[in-house]
Amino acid sequence: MQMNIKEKAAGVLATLVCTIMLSPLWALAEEAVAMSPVPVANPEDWWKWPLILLGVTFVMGIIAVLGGVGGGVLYVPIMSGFFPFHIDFVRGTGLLVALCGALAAGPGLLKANLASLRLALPVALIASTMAIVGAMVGLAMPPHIVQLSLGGTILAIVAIMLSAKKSAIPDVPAADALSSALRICGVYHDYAMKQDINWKIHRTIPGLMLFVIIGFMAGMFGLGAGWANVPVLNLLMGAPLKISVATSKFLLSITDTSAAWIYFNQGCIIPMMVVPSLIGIMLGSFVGVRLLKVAKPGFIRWMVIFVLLFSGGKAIQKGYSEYQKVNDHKPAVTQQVDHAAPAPAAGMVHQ
Amino acid sequence: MATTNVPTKEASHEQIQYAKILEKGMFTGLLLMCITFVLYVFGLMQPLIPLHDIPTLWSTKSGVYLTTVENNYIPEGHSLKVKVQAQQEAAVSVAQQGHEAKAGQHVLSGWSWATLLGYSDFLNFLPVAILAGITILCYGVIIPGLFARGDKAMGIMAIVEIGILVLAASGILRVGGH
Repeated sequence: MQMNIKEKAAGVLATLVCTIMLSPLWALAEEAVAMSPVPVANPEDWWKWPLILLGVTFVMGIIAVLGGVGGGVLYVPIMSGFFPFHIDFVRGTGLLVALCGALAAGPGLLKANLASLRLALPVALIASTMAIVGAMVGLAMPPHIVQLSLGGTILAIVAIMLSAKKSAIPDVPAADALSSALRICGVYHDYAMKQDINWKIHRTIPGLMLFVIIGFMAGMFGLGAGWANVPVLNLLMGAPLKISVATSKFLLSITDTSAAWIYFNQGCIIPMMVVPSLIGIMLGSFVGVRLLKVAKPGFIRWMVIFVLLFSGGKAIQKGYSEYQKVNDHKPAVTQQVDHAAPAPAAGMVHQ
Repeated sequence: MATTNVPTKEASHEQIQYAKILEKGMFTGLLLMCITFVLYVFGLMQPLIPLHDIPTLWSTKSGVYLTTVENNYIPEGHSLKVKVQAQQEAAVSVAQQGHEAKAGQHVLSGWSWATLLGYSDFLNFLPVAILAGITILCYGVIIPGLFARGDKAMGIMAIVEIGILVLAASGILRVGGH
């Protein structure tokens, strides 16, 4: 009885926290904070930022687990839309957030034989190569184009979340030639079904082709790519859902590594942003896992969809207003940049 | 632990090897990250960029951030500062001849952070590099086992993957400005 009350209280608390943190009103309030000149006017208040980041990413970590999404997919649109960080640093940090989540989960999933190294190797080769290309293209593009494309991508993710079905054990009549040659198959014990499941995959070539796009987008926006990996592995290639989810999580540790290096090498990593974000999201994930059995995941999933819709819209609006600024005040923008950074010697242009 | 090519319920030898190294690298990186961040944020070691300047820098694009750090924070006499000055002098000389200076790379990109590890903010890059680099080591360890079992296709893929990750990590791939 006492346990029941405790569980109910925890469930109510989890739902309440998620409702407040995912509310657009909260987001707007955060935006107001972000737009305010606090950091510039009071440079001594720098210490507030790690605490704010720690708090926000802690809640984000809880929501990511309860909503069944990766940390990166929440981190990038929320941080770039409602906080004063430039999208270059947000993408670099977003990749590290997704990478650390994958590194934390990967060893356990591999040991349990749920993540398949054989399935991951060819997929990772394509996705990580394209993630490098995506990161380089994304960093070379003007920020307003990145914001607009990010908004479009987030809205597409919402569409995928709303429409994609899942298949616990898809029917794969026969493995295709490529997956047979590479011996991409396996056996795992499903504790819920109390039986060993033999699995194999098909449609390997179309699946690998899709990872060209997935890898590119992961690198370009720093989103991680679990939202796309799982449907492709599960619905298209026919891997069981548990294998797809676990392999997708492990896959991020390779895909995001390659893109993260590009951002790292281009100076898009600021420790003051990265470390509190990583710690916050990891602690939040631990709490999220504990709350999972008492919270109402259906409701939280809808809230996540709602906040992603809002963040996607915000990214498009921000990208459009930056685009207008660039077009309307080109000379003024140049002056602003020169003022923000002490200019190098005359005539020198940095890339 | 499975050692044959027939799939079993247990993870293959290579998969277990990979998982163990990934786990060690992950714990080492995260522990080191906590230690270096404490040194940084509590002022136990001197940072290159004063903490109170950070909130004004992270809203600028990465190119502006790097230029600001190169011009304002790297101390005189440091090898990176010498490079920055040389780059600027070259640009001035080109400009004096009436030509437009050729676009140059930031001195503070790629692995140049390694020369600033004596500063607490740049010391934090060490655990980030470990976390981002551990996958390369994992791949390296499983390759002999893959070839020993005659799994040439997977072995070759692992070698190519190492090449790609090393290329990404090397800093050779440069990005044009925006």
